[in-house]
Amino acid sequence: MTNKLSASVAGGTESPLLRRRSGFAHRRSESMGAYTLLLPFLLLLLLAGLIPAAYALWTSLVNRTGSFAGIDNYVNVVTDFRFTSTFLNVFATMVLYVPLIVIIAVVFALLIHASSRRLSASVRFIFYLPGAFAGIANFVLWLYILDPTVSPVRWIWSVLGYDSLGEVAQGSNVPMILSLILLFQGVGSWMLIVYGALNTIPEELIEAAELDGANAFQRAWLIVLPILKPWIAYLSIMNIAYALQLFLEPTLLGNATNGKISPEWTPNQLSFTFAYGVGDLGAAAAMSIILLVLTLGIGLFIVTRTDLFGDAE
Amino acid sequence: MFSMKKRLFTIASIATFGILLGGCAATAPDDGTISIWVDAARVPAVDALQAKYPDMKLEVNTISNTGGSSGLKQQFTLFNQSGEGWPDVIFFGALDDIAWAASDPVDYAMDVSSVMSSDYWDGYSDAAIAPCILDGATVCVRNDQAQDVLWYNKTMFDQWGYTPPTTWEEYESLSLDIADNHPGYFTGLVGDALTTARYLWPSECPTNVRVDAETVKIDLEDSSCTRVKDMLNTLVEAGVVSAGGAFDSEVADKVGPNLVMTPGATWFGNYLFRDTFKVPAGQISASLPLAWEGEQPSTGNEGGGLWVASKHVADSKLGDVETILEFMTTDSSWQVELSTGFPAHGSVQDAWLAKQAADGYFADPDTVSEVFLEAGAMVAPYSLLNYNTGDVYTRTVAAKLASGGTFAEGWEDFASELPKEAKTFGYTVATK
Amino acid sequence: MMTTSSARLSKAARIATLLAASAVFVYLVSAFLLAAFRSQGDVVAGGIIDGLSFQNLVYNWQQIVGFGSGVFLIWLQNSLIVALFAAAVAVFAAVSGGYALARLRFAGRKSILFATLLTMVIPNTVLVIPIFLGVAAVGMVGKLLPVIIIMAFFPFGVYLAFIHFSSAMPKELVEAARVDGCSELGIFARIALPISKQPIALVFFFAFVADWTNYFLPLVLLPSTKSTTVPVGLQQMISQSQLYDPTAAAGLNVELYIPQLVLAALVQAIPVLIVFLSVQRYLVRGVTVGAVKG
Repeated sequence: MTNKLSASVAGGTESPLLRRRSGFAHRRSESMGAYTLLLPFLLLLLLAGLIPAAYALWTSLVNRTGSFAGIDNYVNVVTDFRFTSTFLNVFATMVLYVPLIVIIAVVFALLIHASSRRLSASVRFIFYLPGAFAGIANFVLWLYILDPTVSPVRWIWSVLGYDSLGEVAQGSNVPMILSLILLFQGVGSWMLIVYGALNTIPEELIEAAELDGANAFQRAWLIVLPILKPWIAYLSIMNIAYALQLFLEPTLLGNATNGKISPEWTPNQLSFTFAYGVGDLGAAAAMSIILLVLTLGIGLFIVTRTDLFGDAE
Repeated sequence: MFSMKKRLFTIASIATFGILLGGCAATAPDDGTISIWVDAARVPAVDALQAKYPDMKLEVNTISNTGGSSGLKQQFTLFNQSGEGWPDVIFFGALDDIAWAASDPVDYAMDVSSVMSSDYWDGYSDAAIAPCILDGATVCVRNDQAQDVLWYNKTMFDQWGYTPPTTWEEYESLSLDIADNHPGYFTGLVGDALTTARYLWPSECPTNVRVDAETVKIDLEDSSCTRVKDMLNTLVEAGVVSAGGAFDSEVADKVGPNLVMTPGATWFGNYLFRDTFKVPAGQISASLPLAWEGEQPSTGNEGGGLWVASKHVADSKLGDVETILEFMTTDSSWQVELSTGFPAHGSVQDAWLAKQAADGYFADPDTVSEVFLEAGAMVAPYSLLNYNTGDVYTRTVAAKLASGGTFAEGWEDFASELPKEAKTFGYTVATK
Repeated sequence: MMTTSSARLSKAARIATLLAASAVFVYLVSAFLLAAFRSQGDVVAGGIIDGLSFQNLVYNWQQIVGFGSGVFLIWLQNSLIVALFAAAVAVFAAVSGGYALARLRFAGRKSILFATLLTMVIPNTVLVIPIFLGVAAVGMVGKLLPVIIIMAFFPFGVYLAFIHFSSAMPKELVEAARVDGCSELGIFARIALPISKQPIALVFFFAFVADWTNYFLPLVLLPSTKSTTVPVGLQQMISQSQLYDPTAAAGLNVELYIPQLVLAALVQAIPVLIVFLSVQRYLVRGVTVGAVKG
């Protein structure tokens, strides 16, 4: 620390002796000030992040009697007959959901960006509104939509030949249903984000392309999209991470269909069952650590490989 | 040099946290209040209890019995971790719940064999109290018996010239007859978690036979299982047995009113036929449970709730707890007047049956009464384990049926998942 | 050169697409809102308008508060306490921390920033079960305080504040104040705070919404029906509804069909809408850089 300090102080000073002493004092008080200001956040990071993660790690490495169990819990988790299917399930959902939300968010952001202010503002508000019905409120909305006996769009279900919620929510439809539910509540916010990014593109660039003879589609494809690439990557990866930790919607769908959807459909649900269904806290902790490592990996990828956080340096 | 704003905010926060801490540290007042947890259907029982004992201090919490019992299990795991919070008395709607509640690691249920009088215990037939006997201790008292009988619509049967079957083979052929000659009517439901109790338990199909504390026998290839599978597969294919469940709202509207025959629990009569399917009075009757050709008739139990007392109850409250258990199982203001289930305790059964007869819903109440009483003694032995066969059935067979597959296909999933489920709960699975 | 007619065509196509998509959203959301004013019979019969009446609304509300002797109101109260306090603490930690990361130099700055970015991306449900284990170990399950503390950890808020101070607060201002003899905390209070309205509003909004709608954390930390928050409570209402658990219907003294559940969900969404509308003006101005959803 002393070296860094003196090095940074030494650069660009006039009277080294005098400046060095007061510079050092400045640095110290600056550091102290910084740590004081950061204290609340760091404390929370400790309490809500580091300590639980450490405790989870410890719990995952011991067995029920408290003695060291090595990777036994991890082996149990990974060889559980439901482990692979939970990841297959979220993968099936991701494969539908992520492309859909990226495409819809980007396309509509582009469309809105090219529209008049009034139309743009109205459409933005309309799309964002469902975001207010987040989580369980959104799910109630979809219970209403998905149940053919009460749905405001029941003609869709009768065309598909479904008479009951159980048929609509049958196993093979679940990834699609989940995607729709997540899309409805999420597309508004993500669209706003892309729209905001679009606003940072200089007008001249687009006008120049227009003068060169590019039509709207070509302008979007050749100029805007490449600039949006880091945003698209960010969007995709964030939603992959989100799909990975699904819990609420599959659980509620299971309740609403009287148990026809497995209560261990997603990895997080499996962790929950380990904790409370079977009472195996070591396995639950191991599952949490696995999910944590996966999402940390995703996070690391975003932070280090995309350009989005370059300004953070 | 904190700004006033920040200082005020800090003080306010600390003060509020203090209040929250204090306010939230709500330890149970030990003034003799009994905490009692019931599902929504048993709330009237607690009301009746309070009416009879107005001085008893009760704190009621309504719980949900669906969503698997992991919601309940979650709370009990919690109580064991923190060393407090257990309800003094709880009602379990599903028989399996007593298995985890009375064994390690939860170990919650009190052994009430010495708490209740011997006269009281005499009132229970062996079959009625069987689910409560675990390793020699009696860890609960039975609220109602839900033995399966054969329900049928006497009016329709008379009209068509049928008599109720006495064997499963006759049940199958009669169902196929109805499918041919009277399409649009149904003779069974196989889409809910109680299906295994309704069809597999009477056949004594080994889905969960307790060999010892760590071992369970599961053998779905046994003939006692495959005969049920084949029968149901045929009947579902014929469209005469519905893939819906007893609790589905679609079944209530479209299948229930046309359900002319089905094995089902004693509570089917009032709860399903009368209140949910709204079949008019004077049509529904019941006959004895079916037997497989050449065997004695045996039947299953679709529920039949349990009242459980906590091991952790303070000695001073034991008297009240005993009163509650006795009231819930033997007092007519609940069991006779309000309960839709056939009482498990002998002392109130006749009164309940008489009330049913007086209500005049069944076509021939005397027959129904006799059938209930006889069937109660026909319940086959059954082990209650930490895993729930019905839940596995629902997410395999019922789910398969809902996606348009066949019963046999769903059965394959069921057969492969059931042993795995048992293993996650720590059991070793034997097939013999 | 593009002909004006194909430019007009693409404009027409654009507007048509936007209107069509908006129509779908408006239809679905309206159907949802209107359902609270109808009865179950109306909803089953079809359409989205038939049966609208204020009496239905009142009746539906009575059913909701009749459930569990008014426990819905307790859930609302708990949710309010938890979300408000957690968001307030999150704002507090975010504004001070974000400023420090943006404008102060100190050892570990890059690491802390990196850690913030990293934790921002991790969904908050991943550590819920370990958090439960930790909170249970200190015997605090069922109390609101640990829920508030855990929810107050909001790295995205720090990031938002960091972006704000990085762009809206010139370094020279800080230097000048320092030369004037101001302490670091003094600079923060006198110079940074007065220009913090936007990050405060933004962080409060995102934190409040995330905390108000958080399901998994209260599920494990507040498992008892009587002391939990609205998301968990609503889920219990749904699971005991006559629609999905007819056995519960035998003893349930209130109706919990679609209109009642919809009303409960709408009431749950109202605070979010209020907060959203209040911070609208702050939201529009280029906030979206790096914005993440809960």
